[in-house]
Amino acid sequence: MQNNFSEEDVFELIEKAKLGNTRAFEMVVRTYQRYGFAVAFRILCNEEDAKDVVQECFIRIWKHLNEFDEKIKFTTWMYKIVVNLCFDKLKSQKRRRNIFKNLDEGSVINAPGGIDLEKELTNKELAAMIKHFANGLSKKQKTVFILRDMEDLSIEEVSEIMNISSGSVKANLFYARQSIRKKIIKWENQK
Amino acid sequence: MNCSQIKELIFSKRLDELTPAEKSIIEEHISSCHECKSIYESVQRAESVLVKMKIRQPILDNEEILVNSIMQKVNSKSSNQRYENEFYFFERLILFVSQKSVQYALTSILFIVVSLYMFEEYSAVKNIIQLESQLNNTVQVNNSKAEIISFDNDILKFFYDAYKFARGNSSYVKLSKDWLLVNKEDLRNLLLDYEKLDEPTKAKIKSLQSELLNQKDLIFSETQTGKRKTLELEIERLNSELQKIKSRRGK
Repeated sequence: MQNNFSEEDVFELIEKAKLGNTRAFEMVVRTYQRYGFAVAFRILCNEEDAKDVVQECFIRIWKHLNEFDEKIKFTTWMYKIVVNLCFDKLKSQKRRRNIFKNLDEGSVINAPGGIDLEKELTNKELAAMIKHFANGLSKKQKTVFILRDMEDLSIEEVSEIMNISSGSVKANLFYARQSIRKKIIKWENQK
Repeated sequence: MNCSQIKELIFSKRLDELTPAEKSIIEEHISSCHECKSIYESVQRAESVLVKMKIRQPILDNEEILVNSIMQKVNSKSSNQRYENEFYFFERLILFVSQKSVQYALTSILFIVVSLYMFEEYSAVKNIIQLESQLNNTVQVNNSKAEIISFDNDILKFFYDAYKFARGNSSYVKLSKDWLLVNKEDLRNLLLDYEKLDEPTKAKIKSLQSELLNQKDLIFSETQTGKRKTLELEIERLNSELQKIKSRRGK
């Protein structure tokens, strides 16, 4: 069932889902949940939180199916919801427990050790690397970097998802790339 | 390009985003600059780490559990969909109405409706004033209790006759300026009401009215010859016809 649908296929499934066809919607969930999960995981660096976001994302999509604008790609709409939910989660977690200091400037995240990039990475190792390399970036810079350089989305898509201008995407990306590359070079040299 | 420009170029883009021209500029520069060469190589290494991180997608285990959990909630929401759709409709309606442009449009429509109503009222009042003025031209035809009114305006004459039918009068009322002033409101309502009637009812009333006008002359002449009673019965019949129309309209 793990098919990759064309945009037309997705629109057709969405149209069916709008009429209450949950089976069609399930096909959409099965196909796209992993993409939503990848973005949520990279932003939140936590598997359970990312799963919560994916779940909430698809429930929101179901509730707001009638608002789906066919002029934009389904994935763009989905990523937009995922990113907003991630930001909400980060905000509430930071407020409640104040433990997401990895996203604040000046906090120290230890460099991940013993990671062999030639082998399969566990989610924990991947989370540790992202946390370390993105340390000191704002959530906007980090998310722009993830969407553009990790998920390979276009500048225009990132701009639509983040609801910021293309210029702002490029500026945030420039700063994020510089910072991340420097950290990777340092990490490489320490190995 | 100097070193600082080369460094900016290296850091501003992903290496795979560099154009062939930019690549050749960098390669030409680093062939003679050790510092920039070292930076470029470091960035290349960093890029290769990022490529590996990009390839390593986070693993979503137990996909089926997540799908089931989502669909369970979707199905429970689905049963409430009807209620939510209704709520959604009202929510959208409120949002729609709260838009400035919509408010301006609604205000304009309200203004037009009120203006039309005022115009209609004005026309009705104008008609009554006209009728009043015409009453001054009343011609006394004979010395009986009935008075025949000469109206220039056929429509007003018609309404006068229709009014009498509507009131259930089987004989002519004494029409005077005082009478009109007392019954002005009723007559006004009748004028307004007539326009609201459907076409068949209007036609029926018109035919009754024309019948009445014919009878009117007879009433006058027959009264002189003692056959008034028969004609009154005829008017009674016409009147009951009108009552039927009125009751149908009421429904």
